[in-house]
Amino acid sequence: MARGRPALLLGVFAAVGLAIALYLSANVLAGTAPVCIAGGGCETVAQSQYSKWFGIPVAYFGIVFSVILLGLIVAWWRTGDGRLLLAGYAQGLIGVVIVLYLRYLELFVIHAICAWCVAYGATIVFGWIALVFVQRRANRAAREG
Amino acid sequence: MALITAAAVVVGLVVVVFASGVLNPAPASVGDLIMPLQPTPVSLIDPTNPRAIGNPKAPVQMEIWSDFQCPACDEFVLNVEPTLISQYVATGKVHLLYRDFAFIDSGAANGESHQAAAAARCAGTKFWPFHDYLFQNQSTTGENSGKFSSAFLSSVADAVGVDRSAYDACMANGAAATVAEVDAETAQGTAAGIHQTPTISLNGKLMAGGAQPMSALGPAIDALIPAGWTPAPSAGASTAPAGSPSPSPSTAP
Repeated sequence: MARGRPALLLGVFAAVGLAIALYLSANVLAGTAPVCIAGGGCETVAQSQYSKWFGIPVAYFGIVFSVILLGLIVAWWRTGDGRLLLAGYAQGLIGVVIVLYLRYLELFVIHAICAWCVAYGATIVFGWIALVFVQRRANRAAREG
Repeated sequence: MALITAAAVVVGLVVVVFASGVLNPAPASVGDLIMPLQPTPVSLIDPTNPRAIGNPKAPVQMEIWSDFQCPACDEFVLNVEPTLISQYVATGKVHLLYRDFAFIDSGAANGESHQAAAAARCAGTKFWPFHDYLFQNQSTTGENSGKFSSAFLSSVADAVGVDRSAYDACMANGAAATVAEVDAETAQGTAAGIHQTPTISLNGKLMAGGAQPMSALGPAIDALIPAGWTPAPSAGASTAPAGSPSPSPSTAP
């Protein structure tokens, strides 16, 4: 199976997620609130105590997550090793669970929606769905080929 | 594959459980300060009066007469106000003004109620974040117990990103001028018949009974909103980016 286009698709999801995580982290470092797309949700979420895990800003975890995911995708693109896709699948699924938890916090605990966080979550969820399709295609191609 | 899927879900849940603090509940903090659990959106702050939030032309003008040391006020701010803000202030229906009724320190200018009220005023445009921090960090050992010391109030000022030179100048000499403003407002409350905190007024009419649950407050507010009222395009929550720095704003992606 040609890996260029699927890898590009997955890479775009991961790269967009990384860019958002970098933007949010830059705001943390600068001590500013992210420019909110709509409403005041970003400041509210950013100032809530849920914006840190173990004293570390959640946005930093986003960078680590996206970098690892991007690395797995690039490595798969270059080597074609199915285990890398499998690792991406597992990591993506962990991300989906965490994203669902964070949306729950925004909706039912903090009562504010951070559009940047939603956008980041969307890259994780849709990136993972795309990865599932790519993986299925890769498995089918391996069986047929 | 099923095993990997199950393992990934389990790992995700474990991360969530640990991150949510279920196993080790420890609120996030800035130094020794607990960060507000549900901070007031800074974009709601009335640009013409930093002690107010919401649409200045809202059909319901609400005032909360409060003392930063008052446990009932703390209960109201932490448990009722977030819903009030999301359902009524952010939707442009209510303009909410904080008013000082500093009485728990028995009127002492250097008392904790007066100094906390003065410090919040000296925070200027950061009044509302300052307010959130004071209530989130209210003393758990009782009133006038030394919690709201000068050092503590300065640490709140730093946490909310107040211009320290202006704050320090405002708080110099016991914040005499600002304490006088607090006293004047408290006297105004007394003259209006207030004798407990929090006391809520809706369109100038005091509600009896101190702190109100949303089950009582919501219908009282709804009754004051004219039928068919809709917020003007510019009314309600400002959607302009506030850009005001939070203590260490990190956003959950």
